[in-house]
Amino acid sequence: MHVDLASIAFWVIAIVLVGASLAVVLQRNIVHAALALIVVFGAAAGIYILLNAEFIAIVQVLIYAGAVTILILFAIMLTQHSMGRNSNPFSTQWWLAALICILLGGGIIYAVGHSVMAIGTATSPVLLAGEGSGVGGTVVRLGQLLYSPFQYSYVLPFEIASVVLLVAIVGAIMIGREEEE
Amino acid sequence: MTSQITIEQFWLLSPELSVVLLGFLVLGLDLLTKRRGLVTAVAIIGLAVPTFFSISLATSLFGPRPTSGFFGMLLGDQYSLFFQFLFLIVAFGVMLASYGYAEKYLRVTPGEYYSVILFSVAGMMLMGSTGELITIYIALELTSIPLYILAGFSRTDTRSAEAAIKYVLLGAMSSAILLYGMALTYGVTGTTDLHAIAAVITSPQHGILSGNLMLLAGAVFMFVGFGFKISAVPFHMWAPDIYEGAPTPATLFFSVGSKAAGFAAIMRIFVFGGLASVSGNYLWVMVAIIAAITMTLGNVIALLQTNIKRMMAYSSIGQAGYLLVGLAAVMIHNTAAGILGLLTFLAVYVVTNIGAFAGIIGLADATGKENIRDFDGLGRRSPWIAFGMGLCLLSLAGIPPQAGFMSKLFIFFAAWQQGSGLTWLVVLGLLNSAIAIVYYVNVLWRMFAVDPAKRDRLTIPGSVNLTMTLSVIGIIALTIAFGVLLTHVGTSANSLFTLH
Repeated sequence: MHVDLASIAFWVIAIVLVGASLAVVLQRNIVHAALALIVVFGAAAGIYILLNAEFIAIVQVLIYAGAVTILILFAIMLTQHSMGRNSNPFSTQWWLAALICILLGGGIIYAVGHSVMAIGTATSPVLLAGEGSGVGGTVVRLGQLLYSPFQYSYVLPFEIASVVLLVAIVGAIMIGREEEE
Repeated sequence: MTSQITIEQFWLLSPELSVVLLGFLVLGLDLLTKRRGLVTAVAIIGLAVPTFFSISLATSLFGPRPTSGFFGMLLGDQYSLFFQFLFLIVAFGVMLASYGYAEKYLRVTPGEYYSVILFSVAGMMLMGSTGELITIYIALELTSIPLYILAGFSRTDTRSAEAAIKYVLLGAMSSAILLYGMALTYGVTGTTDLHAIAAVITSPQHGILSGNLMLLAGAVFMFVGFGFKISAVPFHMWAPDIYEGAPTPATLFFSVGSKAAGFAAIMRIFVFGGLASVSGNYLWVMVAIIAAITMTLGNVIALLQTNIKRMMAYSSIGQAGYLLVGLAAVMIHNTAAGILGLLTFLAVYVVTNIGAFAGIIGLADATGKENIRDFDGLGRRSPWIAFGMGLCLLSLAGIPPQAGFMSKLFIFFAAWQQGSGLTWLVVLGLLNSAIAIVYYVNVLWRMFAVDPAKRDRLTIPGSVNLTMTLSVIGIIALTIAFGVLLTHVGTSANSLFTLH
């Protein structure tokens, strides 16, 4: 087995990521679970850097490790009366869930290991973000993939996503608003 | 596939775009006027604009219709047009049926209510007309988020809040499973474009993909994700609670809109995207088994219900089972006959379910009750609603010669033609149809044969009466002109295969 720096880094990050993910699910204290989530997001950012997607990694740190976890912690603070032990209780069927997860995870790992990928050989119209990242790096390429009207871009789903956000805001206001008497 | 965005491609987008703009208009109009009638009228009559654009696309009014736009993410085939019309009918029926109820029971302004419905309908229309996985996912979110909001609309009712929170959590989980499936499929094929996925799967040098486990896992995960949306067993647990807890017009919207949109996307991904035709991939076996459990469980548990909305939830699970029989028939040999049956069934199901729910909304509006025993003697208390609802229930039960019977016959016939593999499923489907007659006819019997405790006439809002009248006309028209429906749906079904 060929060992280089990148694969060592990958395994270190992967172990941290899986361990922290397990902590998110298994911690009985919900604040500890939320804090472990920061580690998960950070480790995912590390994986993105290994894949040459620096911009996504930075966005991951800014939005997920920064904003989203703060939001989650605020939500816990405002809704939970006690933040002590057993604030994240288990369902009585946890062993069944664990069994299904292990079977499903094993199945997927087996499937991925025993399958041929057509990536790279397909006559795909999509350029991966990493390709052609000469001048400007992946940021330029990502921008083109999102907005460009002149070459293959995901401009339609991007615009639909803005309507999705609007609907979410309208809904949040409608449900959260005080009753007018 | 054109290599850049041109102005003609916006013509292809115009039906969805105008529905979204109508949603903005209704939302804004609410600020200027407090007259409910005006806002409702704008929302309903405004649907004429997207309908006009869809007709202009169907008849190629402004020149030849572009076959695709936005880099293949938007498709201009007959299949897209079929679902555009279907969802416009859904929007019209839901908004018309909910006018009186929304005013009486929901303390929201009409602009918010109708705009949320319109945004969701735009998402449903996009689910039928996109040919790319990411766009399908975003369109699904645009469909679902308004549905979560609608489930929690009666803010003073704890059951409604419970329905909303359950729907959000299960919806988010199913979306995550769907995305996982899409990611695995992308990993194998290297593209999210369904046309390119079909090309990878069918091209000879990729014969290696036959029996590809990762592709199979991706397909199964995507099916599970959509299985929640169409309430197929074992992903149906949300349906009864949410149907019961949500405001009744919202329940109508879930039962027709969410189901039709889910099937639109499933057929697009599995047939147009070619995932059903990977050799050595026995997806149809899974679909057939799920179809068998779905229709049996739905119909048997529907027998035991006392709440009409729960009964309709299990009835809609049973109907999803029949639709899955058609899907299994499509997947086994990749034929258009099953698609024809599915699309016809969906069209008839939408019209009849709008009628059946108009009856439930009418009763809930007039009395505030929604148990099956509250239908006692409805034939005397409100003859027209009882007659219309009876007709719809008989069509849902599949009593000949109604459209519901003929469309079900088409699905079972398509499955029968596929040979011995699906014979057992057809037999089970026929048995289920017999079970289903019991609970539909039970409601009819209560409406017409049981003496009511109260004999006063019910005052049903005009909008509900109008919805009922239009559904009855729709069902009769579909029954008489079933042949016309078949020819139009036939071209839509075939268009799923033509680009290959």
